Amino acid sequence: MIYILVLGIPFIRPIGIPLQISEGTRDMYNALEALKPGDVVLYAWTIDLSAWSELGPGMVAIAAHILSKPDVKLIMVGELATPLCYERIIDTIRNTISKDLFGKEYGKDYCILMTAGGESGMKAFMTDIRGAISYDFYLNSLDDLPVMEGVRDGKDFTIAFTAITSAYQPHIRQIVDLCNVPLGALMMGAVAFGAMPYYKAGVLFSVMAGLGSCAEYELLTYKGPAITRMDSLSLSAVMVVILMIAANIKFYSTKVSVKVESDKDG
Amino acid sequence: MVDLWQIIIPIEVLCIFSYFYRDNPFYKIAEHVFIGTATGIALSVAIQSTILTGVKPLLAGKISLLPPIVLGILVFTRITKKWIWISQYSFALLIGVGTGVSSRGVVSATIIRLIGTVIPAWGTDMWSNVEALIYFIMAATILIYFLFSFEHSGAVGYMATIGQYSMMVFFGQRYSGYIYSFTSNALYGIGLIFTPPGIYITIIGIIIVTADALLQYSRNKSTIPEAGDSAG
Amino acid sequence: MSSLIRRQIPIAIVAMLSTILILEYFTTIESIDSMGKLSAEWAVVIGSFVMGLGSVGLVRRHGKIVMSMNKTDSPYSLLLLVFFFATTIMGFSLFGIGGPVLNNAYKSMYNDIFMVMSTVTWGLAGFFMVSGAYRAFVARNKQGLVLVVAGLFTLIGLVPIGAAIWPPFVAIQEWIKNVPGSAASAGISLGAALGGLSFALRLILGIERTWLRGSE
Repeated sequence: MIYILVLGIPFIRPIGIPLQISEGTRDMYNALEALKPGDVVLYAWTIDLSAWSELGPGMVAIAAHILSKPDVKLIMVGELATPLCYERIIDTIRNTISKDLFGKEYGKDYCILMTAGGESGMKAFMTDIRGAISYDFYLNSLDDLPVMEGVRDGKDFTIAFTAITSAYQPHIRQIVDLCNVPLGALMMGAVAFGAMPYYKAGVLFSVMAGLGSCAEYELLTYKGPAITRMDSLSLSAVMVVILMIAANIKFYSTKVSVKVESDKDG
Repeated sequence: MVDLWQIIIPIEVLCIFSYFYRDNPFYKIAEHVFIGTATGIALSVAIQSTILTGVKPLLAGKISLLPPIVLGILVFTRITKKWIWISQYSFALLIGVGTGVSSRGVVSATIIRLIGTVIPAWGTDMWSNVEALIYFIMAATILIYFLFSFEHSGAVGYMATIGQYSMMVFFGQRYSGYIYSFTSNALYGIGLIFTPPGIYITIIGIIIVTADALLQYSRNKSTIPEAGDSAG
Repeated sequence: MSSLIRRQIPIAIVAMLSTILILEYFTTIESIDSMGKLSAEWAVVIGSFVMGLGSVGLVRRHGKIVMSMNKTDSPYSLLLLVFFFATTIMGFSLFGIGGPVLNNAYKSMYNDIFMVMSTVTWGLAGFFMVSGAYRAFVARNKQGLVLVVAGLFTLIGLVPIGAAIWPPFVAIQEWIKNVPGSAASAGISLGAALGGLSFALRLILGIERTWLRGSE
């Protein structure tokens, strides 16, 4: 309960600890900033919203960054409840960043699609979009959407982005390996460490780790809730480090006193 | 005029956080509401997905989708003990496709690319060469640790021990990462209960919890027999 | 005959489809390409049906609890079923039934109940992890010491206060992430990939049959 109270204090009285921009965030920003008119971005099979607090602000900032680029198409694909999450992202951009969504329209500049079947669905989509699905999330035919003109399969995408909390290997296999589309990922903090070898190998052009990366991206683009949560996260880390040091001191002082007593008896 | 959800949402958060105090009816109510809503959403998007990927294209003339729709309906025989074997055909298709799709990409997307990073690339910079060597030793010794076909003794045992230490770095990093991630997720709820109007509901919640704690304490105190009461 | 229909044929289907999809990746034979594409499309449709299977099991279980009229559990199960059916009915707005009123109600259920509770429930684990850190992050031996040091520098380097207290914390955390941490991840990922390949081979060859449970 004390922990909750300590985490809550910065919401009442912000501390304002400065942020540094990390390499992964900088790579993602540069890649999206370099988008040209006519490019097609795949917003691919992200979380539905289980880690919205950690990854949501970054997803919103990145989607807003893409939508702010003139004549860049955004295709958002997901399964299960992910399309509902995309609706939330669009609504959040409308409510907090740009009321008219940077002049972008559904069907003309962006669309929301739905697949199923996990990696099989990804493979079917990336091989032949219209073979896998014929309609968008709102049951409009894909042929009636101007944004899908000229987008037939995975090779027509310029760049891909995903936000995940666990398995990223299916995305690597079906997006990068199958269709050679550069992929940048926003990941849960713990999972991002596991993906570093792929970043090193050049398979992922960017690996952003957790809420800190979201806050950094917001600093570079549009201010949002992640920045305000960083103070609480810092206090949490300090508390955990203090607990760790205290636990180790307690362990070793107990060990030393037991040894001293056994030496006396011996 | 305050939106009703601005009051309900902090109450939801407090009901879930009340679990830290003790298991209580508020937490159970929140838990069951959440599961019911989540399952309802899962079913509605499942129906949407079925219509979108199967029914509507079939009605538009894509006859090749009739067999998978039949197989999809047969999936529901899984709920009966007598006919469960019929659903195995649907799952056989899913597992066959899933296995083929995932295993074919593993070699090129994972194994070859990661081996490329593990094998050291020597350069002119001394520090980079040291890092490349550390990288190679750590990755290789982890793989040796997982080779249970050879006895872990002698040189193999020594390398497996280095592999163990290498894995400790990974686990330490991972655990810290999980603390970082899950705390980040908790901050959404904490933000809701520490900013208006949630903070007023939090204050009421603290008063209720304090009153309950005092009541529990006084009840426990009154049931503990005084010393000498049990004496004849 | 029973064993043929219940086990052998499904195992053969798995072997056949996996082989076709692997061959599709490595060859350019048109018939194999089209079979692979068709089977993936079929998997998409069947996957949609599987998504609804969990709901059926849940309704059965909680329906039984409600019917049993248990004083402690039945009211909660009834509440669960009420919210389940209400959300499902509101979900019909996804396919154009009910208009904007039902659609707004459904969005409220998603954003204001499901999203909030899902995120907060995830966050609950954070508190238990912090209390677990007090027990787990103790250097009882040399391996434990490595774990504690790596964890400590990772955590403090990830948050902004690390740089504010002592700037080299960030550089140390980045080095741990890029060199030893990345190396360890590579080793574990390679091991897992090889394990995954061998598991896939066992499935294709019909040695792995745990997915057939219940049909014997």
